[in-house]
Amino acid sequence: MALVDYKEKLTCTRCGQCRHFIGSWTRACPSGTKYVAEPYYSSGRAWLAEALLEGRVELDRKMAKAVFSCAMCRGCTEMCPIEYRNHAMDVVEALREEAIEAGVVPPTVRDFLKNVHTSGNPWKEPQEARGDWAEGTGVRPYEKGDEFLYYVGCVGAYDERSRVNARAVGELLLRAGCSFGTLGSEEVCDGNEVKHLGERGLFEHLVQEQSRIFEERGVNKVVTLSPHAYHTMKNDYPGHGVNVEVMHYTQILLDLIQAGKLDVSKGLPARVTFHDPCYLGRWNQEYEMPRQILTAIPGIDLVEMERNKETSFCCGGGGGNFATDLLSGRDGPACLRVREAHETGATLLAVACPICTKMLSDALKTEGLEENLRLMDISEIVLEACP
Amino acid sequence: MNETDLNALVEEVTGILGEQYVMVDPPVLDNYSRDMTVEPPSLPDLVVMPQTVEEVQGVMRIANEKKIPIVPFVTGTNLGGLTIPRRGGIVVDLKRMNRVLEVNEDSMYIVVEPGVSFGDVERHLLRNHPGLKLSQPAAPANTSVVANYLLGGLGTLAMKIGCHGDMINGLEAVLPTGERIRTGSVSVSPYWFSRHPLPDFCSLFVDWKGASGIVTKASIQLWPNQPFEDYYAVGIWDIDHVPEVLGRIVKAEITEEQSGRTREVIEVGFGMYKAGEPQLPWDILVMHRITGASKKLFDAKVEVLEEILEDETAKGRRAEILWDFSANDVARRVSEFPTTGFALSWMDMGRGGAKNPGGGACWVGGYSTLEQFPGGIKKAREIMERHNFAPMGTQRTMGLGRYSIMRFLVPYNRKDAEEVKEVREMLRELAQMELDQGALMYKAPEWATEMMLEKADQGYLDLLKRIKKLLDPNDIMNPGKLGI
Repeated sequence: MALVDYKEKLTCTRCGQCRHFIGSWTRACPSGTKYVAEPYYSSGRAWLAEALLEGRVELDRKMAKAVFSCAMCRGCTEMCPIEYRNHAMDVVEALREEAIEAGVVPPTVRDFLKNVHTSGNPWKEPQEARGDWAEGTGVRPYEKGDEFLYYVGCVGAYDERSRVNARAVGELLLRAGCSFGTLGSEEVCDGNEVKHLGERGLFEHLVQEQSRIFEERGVNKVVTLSPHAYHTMKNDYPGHGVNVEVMHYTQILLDLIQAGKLDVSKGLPARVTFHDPCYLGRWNQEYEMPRQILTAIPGIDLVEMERNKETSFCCGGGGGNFATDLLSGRDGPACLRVREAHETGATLLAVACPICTKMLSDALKTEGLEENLRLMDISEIVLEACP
Repeated sequence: MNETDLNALVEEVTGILGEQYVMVDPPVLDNYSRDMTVEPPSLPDLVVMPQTVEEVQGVMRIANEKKIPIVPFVTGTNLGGLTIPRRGGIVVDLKRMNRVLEVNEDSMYIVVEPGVSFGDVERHLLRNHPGLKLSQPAAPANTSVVANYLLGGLGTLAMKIGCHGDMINGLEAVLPTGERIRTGSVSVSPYWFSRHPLPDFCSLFVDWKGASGIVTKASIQLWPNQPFEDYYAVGIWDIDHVPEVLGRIVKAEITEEQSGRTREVIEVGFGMYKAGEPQLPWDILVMHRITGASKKLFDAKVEVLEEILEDETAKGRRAEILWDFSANDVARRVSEFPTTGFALSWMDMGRGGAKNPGGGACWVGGYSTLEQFPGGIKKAREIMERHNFAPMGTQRTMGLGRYSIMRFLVPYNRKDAEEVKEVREMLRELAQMELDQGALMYKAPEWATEMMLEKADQGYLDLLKRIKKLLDPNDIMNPGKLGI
């Protein structure tokens, strides 16, 4: 929907309830926590949308920063007491669409979208290299008749640190004897960040490409590395005629462990805290599966951060921010989050998303916490627990 | 302000704060020009975000020299239009001043900067000083503690003490002329324990609606967190019996909190409101919070409450405990503090009391005596029903029953110009009704304050103007908000 279609739904009163998580009374908004000024909160964006529609203001580059710095984490909508909670994220997306139309996007956002359009990924890396993460793993191309497609996504395919996650999941699926394959260099960007950045046309193009590939290759079930891909394929793709069964890899891992297909008896003695990825947690209400996996591993002592589950604090990587870099810095959410993880006394910070991996591993370096807190994806943890 | 003057101002202020914290973009100014109420918006010339007292002083000196209005802002949720920059100027957003500076457990106070929210304090106390609590308003957790307390807010401990303005031990403030002052014990001692026994200047900032300076630190009283606590919802069948029933409970000194909602508030909240057709048997629901340092003391207080209600009912003033909250999830939703979702959901209710989100929320309310309450509610019902608004009235007893607030919640559609106009008319009628009863308007917009001051003693008015002139010779501090 275009911004004008939300005119009657812009009923945010700026009560500010969205800025704290009830119960822990911690701060909820990544961009608001970093920038503090009113336009950087959900209410600020809602009122900006209203001002635009009523012709009081025009978007400019400075304001576009407030619009694009939203991490789309739904921390605000989790706490919003009124109907507007059902529209807040869509309004941000629609605002971004307006900014793109007006040609007033931050340079990093412009580059992100341009690179996805021309090169199929945010960093302008060659398409041919998209499958390189799998070299030496034994993970093979998807074949018709495979039970599911293992979809890796841009970050898992190209980011050096997140490739470790991609390989770990691949290794686990192989060990479990799963029938799967990947698309390798044929894989297309899932488009979740593109959509959330307001580039509807490009998103629709990506979905069409995905649809063509899925149809040609006979893909009926997808298991994703990233919760972002999981979210968009599950929730957005059906509206564009693409209906495949989608799961995040954590949603099949516990069954594999319990069925004895993955032996975790070696265990991993560690105090672990889990960072809920927004696109698994708040966007799709999956909080327990990753925790059940962790507690199935001998030796793991699971402790919760102050902000967890529905009130987890976003790493700041969503909404394309992992590449557009609008929420970085020691006052940014990723650094705040690793400090919060460190406070639990955990020696291991578990994640289940390649974007969280990227954001939080960088933050550990910035905070000088690498010696105190090891960051591992759940797949890496499970792999390490296998004999 | 013309462009040349604005550019010169921006340059000077940027020299103090840095470019990142000086904002002149029209979309930013628009954000700060308005609030959720029917008060007309007005654009500032710029918005600044200082972090230190020295930065506040720097901005203030420039503004004073150039005679530019200053409007202090933290979250703008005062529901009185008090942060709308009526004459333009500089909005000073204090959210970067967000430190909890000190908690003194023995003397039970916390010293905070204006950007500290109730949520921040709640978290700080839960983690570090769980035996202490502060009085919380029925406001979102994001609300500034300093701003709310300076506005004489009403909260969970109002019943015992009075409004929040009475719970401030001392302040640090920057005057409109740029000097930094301290008042309260901290002006002589290292401790912030009391306003006495010095001539008190805290009252030059409490209830002044930001028109006397910018408070940069405040010492807020804390209270012991008792181990035994529960809420009891008391229904009173006839609004006319409120003064006797509540007055008797208050004088028994058994409850820490007494706050009421007319049946319409509950009916609207649960989607059962019908204009002129009561859906609930009682007329007002009054929440009582009982606490005790021991189970014995807690049980004794509850027993006294039950005895009072039984006796009042026997005398023809029917009043009963409808729910105790430990057993009733619905009841708990009605009264959770700090304010959680249900308590704010009234903002989604539109005209007629049905769910119809309109993005607007306002109220009008005054401090008066409990004695005035029944008459006020009846008149308000007539006024609001005539305008086709559900008469959602709220009440909170303060200062052991010495006064009470009577306030009416008005959610409305801010996109409907006709509705906005009608709400303004209705609010004027309600304000006049309250003033005619001897009430004082609480946290009121300019027009309501002006109405109130028409009844003021001339000596009071003259002194108010003299002190304002002394503190703020160029009338830069939130001009107009005092109604003088």
